[in-house]
Amino acid sequence: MKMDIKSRLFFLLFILASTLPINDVNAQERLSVNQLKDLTDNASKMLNTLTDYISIIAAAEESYDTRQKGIELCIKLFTQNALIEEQNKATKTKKSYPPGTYLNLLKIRSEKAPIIIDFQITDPLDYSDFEKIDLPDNTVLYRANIKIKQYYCVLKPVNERVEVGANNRSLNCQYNDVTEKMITVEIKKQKSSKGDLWIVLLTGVNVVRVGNL
Amino acid sequence: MEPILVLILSKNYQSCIYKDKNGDIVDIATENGKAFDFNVGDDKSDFKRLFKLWVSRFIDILNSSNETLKFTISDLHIKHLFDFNITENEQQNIISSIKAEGVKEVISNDLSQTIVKNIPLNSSDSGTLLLIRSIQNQCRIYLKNFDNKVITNGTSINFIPDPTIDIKVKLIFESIQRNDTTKAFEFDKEEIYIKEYLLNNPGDFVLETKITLSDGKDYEFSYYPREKNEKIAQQQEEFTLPNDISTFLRSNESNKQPDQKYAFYIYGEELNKDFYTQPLNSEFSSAEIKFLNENDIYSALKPLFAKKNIPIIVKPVNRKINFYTPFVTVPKGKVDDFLFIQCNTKGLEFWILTSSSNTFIPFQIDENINTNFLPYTNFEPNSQMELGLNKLDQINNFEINEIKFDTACKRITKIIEEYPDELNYVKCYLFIPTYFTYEIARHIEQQLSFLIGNAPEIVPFHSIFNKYLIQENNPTYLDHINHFVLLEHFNDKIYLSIAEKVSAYAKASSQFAFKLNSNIAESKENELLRHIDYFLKSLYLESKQCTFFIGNELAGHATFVSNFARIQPTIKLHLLAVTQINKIGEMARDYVITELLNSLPGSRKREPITAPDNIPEPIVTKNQDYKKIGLAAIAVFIILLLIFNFRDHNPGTTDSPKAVDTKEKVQEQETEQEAVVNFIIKISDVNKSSDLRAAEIRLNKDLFTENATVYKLGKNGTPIGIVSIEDYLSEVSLLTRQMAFEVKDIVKNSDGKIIEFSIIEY
Repeated sequence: MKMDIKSRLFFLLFILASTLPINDVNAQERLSVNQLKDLTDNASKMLNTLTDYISIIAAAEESYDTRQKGIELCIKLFTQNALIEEQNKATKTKKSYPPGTYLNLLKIRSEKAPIIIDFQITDPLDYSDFEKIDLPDNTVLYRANIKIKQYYCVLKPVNERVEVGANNRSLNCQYNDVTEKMITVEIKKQKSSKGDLWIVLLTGVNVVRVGNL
Repeated sequence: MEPILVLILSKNYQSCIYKDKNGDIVDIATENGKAFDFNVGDDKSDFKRLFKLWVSRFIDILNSSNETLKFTISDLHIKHLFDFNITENEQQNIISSIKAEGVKEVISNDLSQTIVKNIPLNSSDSGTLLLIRSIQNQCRIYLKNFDNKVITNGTSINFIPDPTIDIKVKLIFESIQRNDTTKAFEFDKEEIYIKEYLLNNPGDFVLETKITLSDGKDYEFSYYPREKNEKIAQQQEEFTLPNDISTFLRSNESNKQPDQKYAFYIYGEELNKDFYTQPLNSEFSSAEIKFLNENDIYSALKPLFAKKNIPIIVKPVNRKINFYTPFVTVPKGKVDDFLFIQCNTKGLEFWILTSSSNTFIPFQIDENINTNFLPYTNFEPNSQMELGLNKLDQINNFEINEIKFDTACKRITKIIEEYPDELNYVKCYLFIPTYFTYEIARHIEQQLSFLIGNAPEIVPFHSIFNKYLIQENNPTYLDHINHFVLLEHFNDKIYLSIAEKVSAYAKASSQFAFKLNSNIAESKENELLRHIDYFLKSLYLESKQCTFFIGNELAGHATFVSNFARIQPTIKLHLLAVTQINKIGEMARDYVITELLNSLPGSRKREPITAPDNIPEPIVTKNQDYKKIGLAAIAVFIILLLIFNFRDHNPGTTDSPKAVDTKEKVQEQETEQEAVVNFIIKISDVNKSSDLRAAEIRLNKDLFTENATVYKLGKNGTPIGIVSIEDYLSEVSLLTRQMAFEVKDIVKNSDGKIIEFSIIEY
């Protein structure tokens, strides 16, 4: 039986269509500008949250429970495999820790001597900073890097501190440094109780350089 | 000597104590260091056995310590103190048992019952506070922890009231070993006074009053008996303020012993920090005093103590960042004069407590390290107490103020009527100066009850922030109120302040207190000043006893509900009913209240209070898009409503049951929304500590189910996260930046608890 041209064309299209992966439709799914803007706002909030909590944990002014809660909440901002890196300005050794370990370490350090950690986000995050990445599994993620400056000061004992102005606050530090760090943020689709949801997560904090104040 | 043995009996604990000649508390209800174990309620014979044992021991001790006197059981006075969990019958049984043993007197004591009013029953985690009167008109306070161990090391006593722990207060009146023959003491009156004091200071005695430290172990405070102590009164009357501290010290030089020592106690969070007790007369901001450090103080004081022993500066120990600062460590050895240094917004405020006169002399060192004496007021607790006790005699004269109370209460009622939407919970709280006795307070309470038909709760004014409010587990006080309006008269000035409930005991970030006197003529509140000035003068003209508020604990802090919130929170004001207020004063107060209402964030400018203005505050929407969406939604809603009504062929569309039902639902939804918003506002208030915000969460957790969910939405409506309520609230309570937000789509379960809601954070 010979097929006419129309039938042949239809058959060809059917074969082609059936060879395409089913989730190819998903792979094409992108965020609209408004969605990306909302998620960028959320990412900025998460960064603020992270920096604020780190300051709280390190300052050791709040109660143990509060700081512990801060750690728990911070951990949830990161992906499972995320690492936070730090570097001592003297030894130049870089060390990476999972977020929970790093934050607990901060807490333990701060119990010996309070640590002032201030952050400065040098370039606020914008939705255009996110780069779309097609993954091998035909999904998409959006990634952006944010540079921050971290001021780190381990305070001297109270009786050794002096009244200082904002410009010479390092006088009260046993140790201090300023580290330029890079935080990586990713937006990825995840399953949730309300269906698929674009989620923002931090994937790591890396040291760019460390130096003096 | 009349030996008194104090029995402390409760279901869980029994003790038999007395005070030995060294002033130490001796517990004889132990054997080989171990407490006897018996059950009060179940085994009376066991009690008798133990009681005999205790008494015989006590008598043995008495007889062995003083050979010239011999005591028998009939010489003993037994003072019993029952814990409140012993029934009355059990108490009576025990009293009968004691009497049957031939004891001279069993002194009745129902104080524990009174004190219990402030202590929720079944509080398992509790401490026990003992108040033990010693000789020389002083009380010593010991804290017993829940293991019933007396903590004798005063410095380790933590008097920071913890909202999760209720402190049971017990009173024990120890042996009154006095040689004076003036019969100045009247035991019952003292008892009443202490009872009142305790009621005014639940959970914490120490910091409310200027307290001397005797030897580093005990906290003490002085009080005077009912009868005026002529000697002290004379000293006080003759005392005039010296021009500066050196004059003062020189003038006292002749009275002092050569080896007299001064001790300085510095208390305050840190010297450069804004401490929780901001005095009412503060004028400087904390920034201005930040350069005053310990050395500055020392340098400033040193010359003043020339030729004398160099003062010892005692640093606070174990400083914790908290709103209370316990007393400092006291060096070993006796000191004669105490100098208390308190850091506050005015600079540093000092009080000298002289051992000779027991008088507090307030002075300050200003930002230029000059010493200035503060106006001499009824600052010292002694005179307050005397005044209070003397007022017992005047109780019958109180009726003269009934008309004024009537006016005040009517005024309050009128305000309620005029502002039903804002003053939706107004209850007359009566702020009673502490020098008023309990009887006077009760009397006023009755008067007010009669006048406004609603029994006011008596709240001692200086307890309001520091004491009652922290008792978050105590449902009887102030649970419904967000703000307090306080009108105070202090140091020739009227102070007006608004305080928010939760922040009041935290370090407040902003202060909203009119600091007024007639000299501040250039102030923009000229009109207000004039009224206040009249008020003040009239008060003085009217009464010499119009020092309503003494002490500086009543710091007027206000941390307003943030203006970011889209929904105007319902403002619940408490109006202060003051005593001895006259018409001018009332007018001033009304004016002030109007001003306060106007100055609340988000309030519309109001006309004077007499003008009716009860239009509800509209919900303010920040985002214009949302306004449009909201309008569109309303339009769709109305259309749907019409369609449904038309479909029902009901001509009375607006009155149809369905429509009414839907309206009710919408209203209900709005109320729920408001409740959630108000709650989130509270816990996101960055001016409060995270711990306080966490406490607020604990208080309100019943709003939500345990596994409630929060849907986070972006500004453009994008879902950006789903979190559990617990995580979300924790997150908000840790925020250090104020957030603006919108709450929507609240879903409740059949129990009325919220199971989910959406939030848009801006």
